[in-house]
Amino acid sequence: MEKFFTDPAAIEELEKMGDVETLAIPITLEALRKECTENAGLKALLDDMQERAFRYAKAVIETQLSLRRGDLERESGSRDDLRTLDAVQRRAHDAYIDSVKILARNLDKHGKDTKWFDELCPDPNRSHDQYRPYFARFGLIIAYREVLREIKSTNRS
Amino acid sequence: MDQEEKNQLALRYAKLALRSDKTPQEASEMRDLEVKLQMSPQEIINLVARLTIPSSN
Repeated sequence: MEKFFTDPAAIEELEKMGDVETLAIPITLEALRKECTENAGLKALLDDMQERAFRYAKAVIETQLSLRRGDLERESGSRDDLRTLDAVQRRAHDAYIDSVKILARNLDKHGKDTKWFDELCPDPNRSHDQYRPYFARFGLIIAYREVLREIKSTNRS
Repeated sequence: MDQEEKNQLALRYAKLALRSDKTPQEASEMRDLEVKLQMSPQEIINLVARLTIPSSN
């Protein structure tokens, strides 16, 4: 499992966490949409990134639910189940990170703003793999904000 | 309802919310969960965020 779920310093910060709408992220989905709006290729890459962020969020939630239900501790073969869930979450995370990197690379090629990516991975000498929690935070916040937007829009209609 | 039960229901709510092809039954289950938790969608998603989002440190 990702270490941030058990790190006491991280838990303390999360307890102080405010509204998901106000949490700091390098760029919003709306701002990214503006960057991509006039280019079908960029728009497709952004849609792909959003879809992968959602899949990653689903995998994280599925893992959390299974761990909390206690199924993994009680049932036989629990270690295999835990490994499977961890592998699914990791694959979803990898695919999502790749989609962010591909989008940033293509935005750069088209002369669009990519300062947000430098904020996500501030030290070019460090591997992107070392920024996994940063990518995770960015993707989950994007997914949760989008979900809230959809719920609000459904409730209005 | 204890906090752990609330956490599980909130995660269940988010799992449904993240589905792009929700059935009417699933949408109805989401509304039932809002009532059971006595929380708004915003409050539920904020709880899920606290349970799942990694620290920025």
